[in-house]
Amino acid sequence: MIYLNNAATSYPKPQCVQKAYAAALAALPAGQFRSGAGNDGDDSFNLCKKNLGKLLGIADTQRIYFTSGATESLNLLIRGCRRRASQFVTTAQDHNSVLRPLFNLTPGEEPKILPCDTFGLVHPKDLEQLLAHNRQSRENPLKVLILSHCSNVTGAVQNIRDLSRIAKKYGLLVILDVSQSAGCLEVRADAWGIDALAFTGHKSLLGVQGTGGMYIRRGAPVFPVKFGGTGRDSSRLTYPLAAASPDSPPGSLPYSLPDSLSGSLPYSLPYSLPDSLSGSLSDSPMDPDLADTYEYETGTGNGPGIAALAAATGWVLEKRLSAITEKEYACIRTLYENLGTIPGVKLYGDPKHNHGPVMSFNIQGMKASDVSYILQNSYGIVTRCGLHCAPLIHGHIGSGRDGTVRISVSWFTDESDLNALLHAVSELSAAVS
Amino acid sequence: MKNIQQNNNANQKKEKERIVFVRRIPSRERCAESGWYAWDYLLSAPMDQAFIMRLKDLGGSFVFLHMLKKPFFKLESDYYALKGVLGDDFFRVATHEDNEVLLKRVENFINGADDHDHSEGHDEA
Repeated sequence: MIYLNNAATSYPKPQCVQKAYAAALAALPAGQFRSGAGNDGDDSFNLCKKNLGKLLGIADTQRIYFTSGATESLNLLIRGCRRRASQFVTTAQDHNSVLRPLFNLTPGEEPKILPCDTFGLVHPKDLEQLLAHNRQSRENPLKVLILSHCSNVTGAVQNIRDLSRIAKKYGLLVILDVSQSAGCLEVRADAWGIDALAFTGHKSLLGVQGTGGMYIRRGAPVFPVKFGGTGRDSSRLTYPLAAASPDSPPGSLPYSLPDSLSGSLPYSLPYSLPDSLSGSLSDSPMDPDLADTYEYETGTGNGPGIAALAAATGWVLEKRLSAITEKEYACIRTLYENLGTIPGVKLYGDPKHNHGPVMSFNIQGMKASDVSYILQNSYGIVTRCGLHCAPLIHGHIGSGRDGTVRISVSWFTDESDLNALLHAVSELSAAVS
Repeated sequence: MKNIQQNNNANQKKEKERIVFVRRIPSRERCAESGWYAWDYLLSAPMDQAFIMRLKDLGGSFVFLHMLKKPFFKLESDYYALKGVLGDDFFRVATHEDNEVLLKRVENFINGADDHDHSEGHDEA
């Protein structure tokens, strides 16, 4: 079976990853501050964070927190901002792991959506225009920009440096989803001024499913929303949530709505504050010393998964990120150049504008779902079809409600895989023309 | 006597080769059908061309791409779509809504299929 669905989850994994996972299962479990046993396991947590720091351009690696994956991280970060949905800006190329938490954050409110072009690229001038207009108007002030670094549909890599710079100019927090770029493209979180970031372990980082995490810059006003055991200071039950403010009772937990609001909602929304409280708490700069007392990594982590991720990130560093980027881009360029010569094939991007390890196409006269079915069951080539959990981009790239056939490569994709795909698409296109 | 024996042997062979419906499972790729409900129909044996051609009698527009590495078929109407590949022991059924009546109809059709031979000639895309 030829596997070209690495944007969903990567396959195969390097041998060292498989070995590390098995070894972690066989060894004494990582203590995670709860016992003195399994010191090697604790080292794997720190080693993993150091590796991630190198791959994501983060110096303060102790501000990297493990979760079950990018989806959990994004939910925690979005809710941790304690803003209304209408105070967020996101983009049309974004994934449902960004869109759904936003669209379900505040009843009756939606985030602002920046458009993308036919390649899936978001233009900084559009963000500048949006924020300038927002500043001048009486609209709810925009407070957070959240977006994906690389489109999981077209492989468009966003200009984060300029987008972040513009967002910062207008005082926005910047949250970046690097699910499709971590491990295969350069990510420079500190240099780009990123306040928070979400990553997944099982795509280009080549770790296992159920791993991932987030980074929160020290002092960024992102509050914890998940509480539980941390293996530290068990006698502590509450966390001061902000510097003292005249509008909030000292030491209060603003997760219960005032009576005037709670009765009117069809379901409880403990993470959305009424304006009278949210402004005072979230606009206040986070006291860095206070921030250090917050704990974002709660419950028991996926020890074997993190051990595997430590091995995986080590493998990526050893191979060199630049070499991985170059090889995967060469594969994508080959696909664009050759698929583009097959009659009836429609491409959604080109090598000049789309640099990520993902590309999409369709065959005229066939539904994407049929093409993907044939590729898998007739030719043994695994792809993905449909909307790819990114519903908004298709209206911008012209792929329609049936979406596209998506190809996503990895370091392990070779020339014979690409040739097999090209041959199959060629036969398929000829069959329906 | 010899003819009766030969007929019996032929009938037994046909019974032996008859492909029957085993069970259906939610499709391994539900998301692929863009909001339609999708099921994989598991069969007792790999599909042959005769089986595929019989499916045409369910009704709908039929496409058979015989020139592919493993030929592909699709039967489609406004309310359902069947698709599969020659030689696989399953095919996919997608329905516009969660339509148990229609799904059952397909099951019964497979198990109660007649002996009309469709192996000569076929429609092409």
